[in-house]
Amino acid sequence: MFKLVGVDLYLRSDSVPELPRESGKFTLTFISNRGTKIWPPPAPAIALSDWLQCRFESTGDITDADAEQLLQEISQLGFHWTKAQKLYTKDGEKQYSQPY
Amino acid sequence: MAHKACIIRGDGIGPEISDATERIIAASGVDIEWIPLDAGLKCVEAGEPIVPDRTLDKIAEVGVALKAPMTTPIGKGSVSPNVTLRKRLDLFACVRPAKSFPGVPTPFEGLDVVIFRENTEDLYAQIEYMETPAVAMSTKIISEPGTERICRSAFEYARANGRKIVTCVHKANIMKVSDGLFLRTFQRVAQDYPDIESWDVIVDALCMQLVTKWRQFDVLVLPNLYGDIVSDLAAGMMGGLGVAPGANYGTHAAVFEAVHGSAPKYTGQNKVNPMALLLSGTLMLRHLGERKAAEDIEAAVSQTVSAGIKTYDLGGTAKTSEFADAVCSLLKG
Repeated sequence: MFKLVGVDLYLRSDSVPELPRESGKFTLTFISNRGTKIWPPPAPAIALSDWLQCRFESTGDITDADAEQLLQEISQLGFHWTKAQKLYTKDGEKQYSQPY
Repeated sequence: MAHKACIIRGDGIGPEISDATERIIAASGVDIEWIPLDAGLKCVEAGEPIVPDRTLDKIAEVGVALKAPMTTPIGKGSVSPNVTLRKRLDLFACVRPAKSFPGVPTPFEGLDVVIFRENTEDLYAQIEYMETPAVAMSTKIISEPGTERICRSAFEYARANGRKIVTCVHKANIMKVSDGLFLRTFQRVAQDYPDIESWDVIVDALCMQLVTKWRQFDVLVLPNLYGDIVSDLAAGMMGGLGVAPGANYGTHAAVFEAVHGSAPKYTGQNKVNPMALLLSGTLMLRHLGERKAAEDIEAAVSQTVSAGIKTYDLGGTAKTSEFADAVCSLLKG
């Protein structure tokens, strides 16, 4: 079964954004830059581009409405997101990659 | 005063070719204090990451490492140690010289290209999703800063090493946005190097031309995926992965590596060719300012191979240690 479990939000930012650790039913699990994890620490000393992948995951049941609420909250906090990507599991197995 | 360099002796045949390489470098007269670091299968078996943080931290501190091949465990969730090193240390420039070597048979006489592969982005960001149960999507990231630094490295290398032409390899006719950015950035950087000719070529045409008109190419600069493929093509042209050296440069650290695998089936047989790691070692020696020793080793290797003392992959019967002994004796003589 294909199940919604989270959202990757891609933000435009020149630094590591101070995102809320929790938002609605979601928990911020990592921030990465071009596939390399830069939060939580320790962060490697790498050059950052201005496009960051921010993964929000939930352990409970979530819906599209929960995902939309997450986007609204992040926007209201003043962050500029350029893309949102839903994350799914299939029979409990993650259908998305992990950062280095 | 001794240079300090980290060494990852690797898995499979890694320790055997590391031993040969360390002996030959010592015979060249360069004093290196090797700092052995853990990485690879034994770390995974101990429940650690394949490249532990302490290994990454030490390389960042010392600034230089020589790395023998490691085995990437097969299975879901396993990560590549090579990609880990490149990404976590921001080793953005993978440099692969491909040059025909005296004594190593190849139909591509006169091959002499240096490949600059961007190492940290493109599809190797490895950001992938199943969008539906039947559709997968992988994200190709090309950034202007990421492209600028690899292009500038290629031009700086060309200028410092008497090279005449830097060629940008791309597929901007199809991927007009991502490869288009790579090409535009290359063209902008090229304006800062009027003394170096700048060309561009579509990657499929490059593959065809590289095997038919290889002498016209000099320095190539490519996004990650094309660079991965073309550098192995060029390695085959110079005689195979067994003789192909590689280097990964970042702003703060450099890791030099044989580009072949750990060949587990040959472990302990004292059989494989140490040339790839040894020639990576000579790239390291140049990085450390030991150009003369690097040239001496390359000359001794060439003389050894030309004398017929070569490992099975080059048609010979010499053991790994016998090849190393022969090179050492030339260096000491």
